[in-house]
Amino acid sequence: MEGKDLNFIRSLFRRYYQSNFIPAPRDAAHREFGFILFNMEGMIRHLSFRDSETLNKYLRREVPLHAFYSSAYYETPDAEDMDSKGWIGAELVFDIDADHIPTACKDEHDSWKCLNCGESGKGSPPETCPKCSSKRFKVEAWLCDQCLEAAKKETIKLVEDFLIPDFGFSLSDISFNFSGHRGYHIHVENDVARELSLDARREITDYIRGIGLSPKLHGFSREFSSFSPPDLGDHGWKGRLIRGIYNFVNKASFEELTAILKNKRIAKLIVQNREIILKSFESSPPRWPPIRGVSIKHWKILAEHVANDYACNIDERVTSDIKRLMRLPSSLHGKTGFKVKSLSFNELDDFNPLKDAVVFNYEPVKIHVFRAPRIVLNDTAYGPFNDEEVSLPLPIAIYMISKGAATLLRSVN
Amino acid sequence: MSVELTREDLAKYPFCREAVKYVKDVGLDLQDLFKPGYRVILERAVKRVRAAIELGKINTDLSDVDVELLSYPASLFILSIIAEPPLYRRYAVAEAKRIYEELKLEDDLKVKYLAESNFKWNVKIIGLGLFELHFQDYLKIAPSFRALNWKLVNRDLSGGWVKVSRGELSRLISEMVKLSIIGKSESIVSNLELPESFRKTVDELKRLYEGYRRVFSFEEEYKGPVVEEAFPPCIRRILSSLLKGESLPHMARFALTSFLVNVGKSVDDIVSLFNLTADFSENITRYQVEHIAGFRGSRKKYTPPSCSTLRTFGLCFPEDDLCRRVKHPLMYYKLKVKGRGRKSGR
Ligand code: SF4
Ligand SMILES: [Zn+2]
Ligand SMILES: [Zn+2]
Repeated sequence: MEGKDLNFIRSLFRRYYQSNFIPAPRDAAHREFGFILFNMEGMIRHLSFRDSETLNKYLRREVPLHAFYSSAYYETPDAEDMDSKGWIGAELVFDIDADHIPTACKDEHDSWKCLNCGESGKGSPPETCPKCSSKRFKVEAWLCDQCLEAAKKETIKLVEDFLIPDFGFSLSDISFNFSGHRGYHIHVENDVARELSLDARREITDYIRGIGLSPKLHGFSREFSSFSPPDLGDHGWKGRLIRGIYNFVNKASFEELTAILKNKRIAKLIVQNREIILKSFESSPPRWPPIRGVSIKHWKILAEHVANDYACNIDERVTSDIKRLMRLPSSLHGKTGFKVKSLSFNELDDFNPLKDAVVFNYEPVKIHVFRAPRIVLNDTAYGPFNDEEVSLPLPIAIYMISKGAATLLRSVN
Repeated sequence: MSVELTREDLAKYPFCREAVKYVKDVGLDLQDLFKPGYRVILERAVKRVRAAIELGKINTDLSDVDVELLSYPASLFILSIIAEPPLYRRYAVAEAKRIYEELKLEDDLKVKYLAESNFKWNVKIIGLGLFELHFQDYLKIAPSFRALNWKLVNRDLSGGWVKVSRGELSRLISEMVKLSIIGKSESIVSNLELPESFRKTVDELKRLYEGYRRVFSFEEEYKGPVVEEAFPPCIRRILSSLLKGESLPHMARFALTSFLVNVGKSVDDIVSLFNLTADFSENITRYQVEHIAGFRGSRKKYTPPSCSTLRTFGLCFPEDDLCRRVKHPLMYYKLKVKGRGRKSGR
């Protein structure tokens, strides 16, 4: 972004920061702040603000493109060197981003290109380039209503399936932010969360992502054949696994079962005895289904299969980084112009980021779009565009210009 | 509910608050240890350290509870004079084992009390020999254990509480003690004038330790290309049954993985080796390999088991002279790599 495009976006951001008061995060004086400014390489870090007033003074003067604050509390947040900041504690933070959630629509709107050999493709980048096995890609990812909806579902799952029932956190300890781009940030703040070590956070991440999960240790093992299987009402992973199997058996076709079990005979037995199986798991106490030929070994295979669907797709790097800078709530995301919006859990349900996180009016702006997929704003679809001049509502124009996918033709003012 | 600890308890659990207070009230000055009247205490302390070095294990001796209790700070004092951090480690492991063995047999109330009063852990008794520990406390220790059954994802977690057995809670407590003993090695200060007789005792322990050190420390890293021809017979054998797609017993897996990690194989390479086995789960294998490689948990790279351990597990198949000379498969490897270098250098 440069020249008139940059001036255009900056003037809009300035207007936003000058007419809005951005509340500082709790205990601001112990946080580190960082900013990326317009027209300037790199991030300005290690800043600290006494309170909301000083923070807002800065925002109005500098008009940053991106604004961040630390999820950690420090004795001396403005010390230049991380080690001399004096880490006191940190919120427990989760990042749920469409990047980490497989959605079918990504094949339509996202693409990647290998930085090593130039190979390219649709959707999310592969782990390694299929041609040269390089791991470095240039990724093009777009805002998408369906991806955002998937991220929201994942956020609700994180809270309703993990943070509250398993970890015992309460809603009053949890806050939610739309990231301003493709996902949500979930912050847990209380005495328990604050003191968790790096290793502890990593274990929590693994728990939520189902990493290292061994159904054997949850009772799916021959050693437990004389015990009851897990109960459908069990808490934690035990319950998730057995409910997963139950739901799967309830619906799975012979073909699906065969594909997973790699055994037609067993798949057939399961389909034939579907009712008995469901009844056995439902009974109190539950029983292993009394079907000759089908053993715990097979239930274990199904458990492994369903585990993935019940895990939650959080970005492990964010949670296990206790010195990370997060986006400042109520600031603007410099790649989209959308607001990093704080939400309560109740608001989350009806929240439509492509409408409710918009802070600018919908006046049309003339831009030249180089290339962009279809995008939905305020329940109206625009595009796709390919090297054309169009008149689009201001929020989309800002988004496309900030992304470098379009250039301004005529300013609103 | 408060629990009254007996003097015997204090002797068994000298790390606890009451024991520390008792020692303080007795007014034991470590300088006094050199005086003839304290000989029994000094002797018991020396015995503790000696057992840690030689056996890796200390037994509780309750024939005189006061001596037993007082000898604990005394052995820590001796360690601070020897001033070898790895020895602290070994001693800590041995004490932890002893404490674990004792705790396992205690009644639930006492175990709960020790965890609460010394570490401020949140513990609930939910059944006979069954507890709930808050995940916050559980995660202070459990991530450093390698076994999958310690992983939070494999536990019953509900409302913030992790279910643990008495044995497991005992293990967590003893590990906590271990860490605190190891922590003391960071503040070695001693620079005292020691009486001749005591000097001798310390020197003796030092020599004993030096002798054993070669056996139990393979801390120095091996850096260089991986030379598969230099693998010892035990590892070669495990590797070949793996390549045939056979599934390996736990110890064999651990020996192979830790060996490969230590000679410099990457996690990716090792994970893909296990890919061949029938019960392969990428998720679990990667986790285990990363743990052994020190990317997780205690951040400590695991060392493969020694020859004698491998022998116990029926995994040792000595083939050549070198096997007779080494006590550790990594030692075999290092010597073999060196030998090759010399030959090809000519
Ligand atoms: S003696 Fe040691 S190195 Fe040789 S085969 Fe046995 S365990 Fe392996
Ligand atoms: Zn490539
Ligand atoms: Zn999408």
